[in-house]
Amino acid sequence: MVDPLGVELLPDCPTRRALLRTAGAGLAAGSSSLLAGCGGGSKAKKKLVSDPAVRQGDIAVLNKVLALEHTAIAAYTAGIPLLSGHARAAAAEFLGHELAHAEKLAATIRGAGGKPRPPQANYALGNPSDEAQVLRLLNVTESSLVNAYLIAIPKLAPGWLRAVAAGILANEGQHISVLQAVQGHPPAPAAFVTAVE
Amino acid sequence: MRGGAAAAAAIAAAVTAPSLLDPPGALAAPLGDAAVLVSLLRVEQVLVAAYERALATGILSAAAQSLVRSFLDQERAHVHALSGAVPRGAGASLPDSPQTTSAFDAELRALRIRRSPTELRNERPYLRFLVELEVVIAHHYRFAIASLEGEKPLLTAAEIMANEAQHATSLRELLSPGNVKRAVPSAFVAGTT
Repeated sequence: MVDPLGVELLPDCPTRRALLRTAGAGLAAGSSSLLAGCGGGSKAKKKLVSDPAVRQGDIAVLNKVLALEHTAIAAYTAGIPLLSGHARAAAAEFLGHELAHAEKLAATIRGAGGKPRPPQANYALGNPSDEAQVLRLLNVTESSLVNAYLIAIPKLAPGWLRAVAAGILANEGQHISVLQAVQGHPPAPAAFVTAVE
Repeated sequence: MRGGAAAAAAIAAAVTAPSLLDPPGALAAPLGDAAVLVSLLRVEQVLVAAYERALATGILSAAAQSLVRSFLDQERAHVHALSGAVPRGAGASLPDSPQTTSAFDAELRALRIRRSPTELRNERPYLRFLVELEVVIAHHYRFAIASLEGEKPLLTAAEIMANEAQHATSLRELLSPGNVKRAVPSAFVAGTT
């Protein structure tokens, strides 16, 4: 199964029942095990069709995080020319990730009949003039994204959509990890990735 | 069964059930967030055991030891948080970290990780094993987040999932320094890469 954001989900699995079966296994988190636990066939397809769709409230939540993804795209685009070496390579890679996040969010909003928030003409990003300042800007931007996704996830109704948002949140956490390491800081400074730096 | 007794049964089954393919009857119906949290607690206990065993091997470099030690502390913090989040209906017990090699290996097999780290004698394969474990467990978290309903359990799971993704990234960075495409291989953490 590919969810509306294009991220692979397994048939019938983003359901409480599937998770409880997994819990019953003791663990069992691999794709094949979840497939085995979830089963297949017509019953699974019926449940898949009846999975909750994206609602109007979800569209508003998604548009809020999309706005911040646009900000991140602007920050990376503006900051990359001031970076060098590994920091520059990482930022360029992460710009591609943020573009992918924005595309997926916009596609989901459109798929649900909504209108994705367009990027602004300008963003107030300050005036970073050297590598350290750019890295600080990118850290702050990523932290804002983390905060936005943590606010969004409990508000999203469909389980599959929460899972996709969590996958993006985790990717933002990875960005922070690399940006921290580039600056000589611990790559995973806290056991819980929150907006607090 | 309803209410507290049903939840307690789900927790007990999540702690002890031996097989995914033969789930106990108590797990066949939706019973609340408790059993999902227990499943997360159980995978966290495997991570604790994996990092403890990594430190005990004596094969890790100073840099790897430092990283693994800090990650072990964070896995213990996850265990603490998840343990506190599980409602303790009817005195249900929670899963412990697997103490013996055979128990640890059994949990790895349940995660479909077929190679036991006890066979590994060098740092790089061991770090790759830890990456594989973190990736599989991110997959588990993703499904948990799809299933959980309470705001606080959802937030806790999301914050931990992101931290596990950071662990995988940092371990990959140790394996391939400066290779950001390997450290962060995808824009979406799906637990498959």
